[in-house]
Amino acid sequence: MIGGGVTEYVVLLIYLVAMIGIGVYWAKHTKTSEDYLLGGRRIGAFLTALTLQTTSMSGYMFMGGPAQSYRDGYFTLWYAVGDGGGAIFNVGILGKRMRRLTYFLGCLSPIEYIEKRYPGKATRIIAAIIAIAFVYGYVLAQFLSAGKTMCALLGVPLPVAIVIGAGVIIFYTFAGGYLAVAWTDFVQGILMVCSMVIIFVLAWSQVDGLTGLNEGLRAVDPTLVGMWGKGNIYMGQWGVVAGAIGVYLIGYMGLPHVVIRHMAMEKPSLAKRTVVIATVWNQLFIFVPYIIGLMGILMLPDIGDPEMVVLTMAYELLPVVLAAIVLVAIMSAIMSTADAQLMLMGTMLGRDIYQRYINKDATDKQLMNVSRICILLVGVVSVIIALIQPPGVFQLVVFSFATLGSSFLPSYVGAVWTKWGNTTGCYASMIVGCITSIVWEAAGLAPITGMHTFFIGIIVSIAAYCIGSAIGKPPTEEMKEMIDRAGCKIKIPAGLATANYKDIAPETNGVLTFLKDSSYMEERGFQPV
Amino acid sequence: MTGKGKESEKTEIKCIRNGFKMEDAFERLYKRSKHFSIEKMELLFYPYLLIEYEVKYRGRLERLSGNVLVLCDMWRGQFSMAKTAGDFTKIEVDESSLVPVKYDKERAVSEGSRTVYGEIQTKKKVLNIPDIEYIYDELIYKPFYIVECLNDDKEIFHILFDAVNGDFSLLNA
Repeated sequence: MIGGGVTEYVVLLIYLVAMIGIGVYWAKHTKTSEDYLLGGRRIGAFLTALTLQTTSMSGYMFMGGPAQSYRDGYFTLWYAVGDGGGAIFNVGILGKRMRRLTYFLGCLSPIEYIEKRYPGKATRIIAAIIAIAFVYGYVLAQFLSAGKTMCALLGVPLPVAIVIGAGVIIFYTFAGGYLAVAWTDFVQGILMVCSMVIIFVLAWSQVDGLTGLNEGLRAVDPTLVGMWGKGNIYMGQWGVVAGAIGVYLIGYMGLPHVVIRHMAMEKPSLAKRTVVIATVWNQLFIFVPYIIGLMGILMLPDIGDPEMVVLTMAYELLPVVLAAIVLVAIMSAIMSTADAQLMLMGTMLGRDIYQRYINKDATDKQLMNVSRICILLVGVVSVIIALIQPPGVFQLVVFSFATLGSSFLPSYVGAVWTKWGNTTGCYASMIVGCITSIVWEAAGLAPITGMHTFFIGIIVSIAAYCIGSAIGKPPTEEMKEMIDRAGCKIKIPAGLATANYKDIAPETNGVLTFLKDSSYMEERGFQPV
Repeated sequence: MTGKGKESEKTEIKCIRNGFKMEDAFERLYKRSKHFSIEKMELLFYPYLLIEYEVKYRGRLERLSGNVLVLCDMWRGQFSMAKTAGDFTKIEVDESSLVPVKYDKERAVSEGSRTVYGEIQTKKKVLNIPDIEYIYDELIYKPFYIVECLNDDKEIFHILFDAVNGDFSLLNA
């Protein structure tokens, strides 16, 4: 236990009450299912960028990341390189196009989007099974992390810590939906980056900057400053390096709880601004934890648990109130990931299961209420499982990232960038990508082959997508039309870009095909559409 | 601002009453943004077959019997249930402003009854299947405006404006 004084409890209490307050506030401002599930698609660039990045970054960045660089030295910066560019890839490649296409198709969930883009009887079933199983795994892992972190840092008994940490997340997600999640993520994102940067700046002067850091590390072990890890254990293993970079550089594009952020953007043109904000935030946040881990080698050579590097430094360098805020920032990192996953579980169970298979004519209010109930149920069941902690659960869920990425990335990217990507390709990539990832992990092939699970999963999944698409029936002309429109570069004025499309979507698609097929536009002196 | 279409043969159609005149559409669009200009606006009529069926239950469920309306999109062959018949008017328009009927009427009537079955199965959740009798059908049109606009960079984009309820969407963006 590192902190456990009155100050820490007071700061944590203020933080938790603030999160609950945000949930209550947005509960009052949420009227429709689109508000609840996608924030009414009116999330601005700043909020999109922060919710996107805080969702992507879990408590790992405060504990696991620094600990890894404490053990492996500069090698771990490969992960940061991938992560640092992740926002550019994710928003740049998917952002604008996915926002447009999901709007054209009238989708509220990332699974519904897959089904509409790749129509087929089994699309939603396969996608929903994979997404629900592995996103649920993620939720469970985050709840456990929240509890264990609070337990380790404050000395609160684990069951109490899990109930408090998870309870607050469940409450504000249940009450305020997507908007509560986005705004709590915003606050959490600010706390996370400020804490990290303050510790970094103070520690930087203690180690005499970059030169002092490198000289110090070289004195401890020259391989710490090399690119192959401590003792050169990864020497020549380019597959591991490619995996380390690629996992976070492109991996987020396959995570349903991350890509749903694109769908909620106020307008497609915000994607550019979102990339800039997310990238700046990334550069401030992502490299810093790894470098703090490196500085920890010099400043805290005898630390028992390297996962406590950031927090121990906080207590050594900062007044206790600020150190308590760092502690809260660690909770923020965990909660901002958990809430997004919990929200997505509610969205998928409500929209993709209840409305699709149980009550096709569910009213807007019914859909919102069912999604809320699902969030509550998933949350409560997760807390119970987390309290029991059956053996192997944590190990089972740690490869959720690789499995989700391998299963969905080709379909999400291919959906907006290819007109030839079709349902067969989607089926093939989801099934093959998921199975490869599970088999690779279960058989422990990553350390043997030097190929990261995500790396092999994604290669196989992309190949399956291309082969399946070559064999299967091409998308309809109407779909190709929509993909073209999703890639449109014309600058649409704000206000018009958020036009109430959904209600006249069928006619719009029909009219468009008519206008292209007929001489209507030409006869009336219009420019062609 | 509005272009005069090429003259073609006139034809009389039954059309859902136009809730938004051109000037109303202008006002509504400009209210959403000042950073564009409307260059051209023309009417286009989209075809639907309005089909009425009588749904007859026997025995204790007789109280659920009644008439239902189905709308078939006659360009794309897609079906939806209609709550009310709507407010219609007969007007004479250029044939070239009509989206043509591509879907077969007999097929629409037959498929429409399946839509009603589907609706009953999912919504009313009753086990016994009612008799569904075709009553009548009528070809109607819904008016839309095709709007050509210029953004501040003088790039052209098009909007489809629903002249009945004022909804609109981008056609090529």
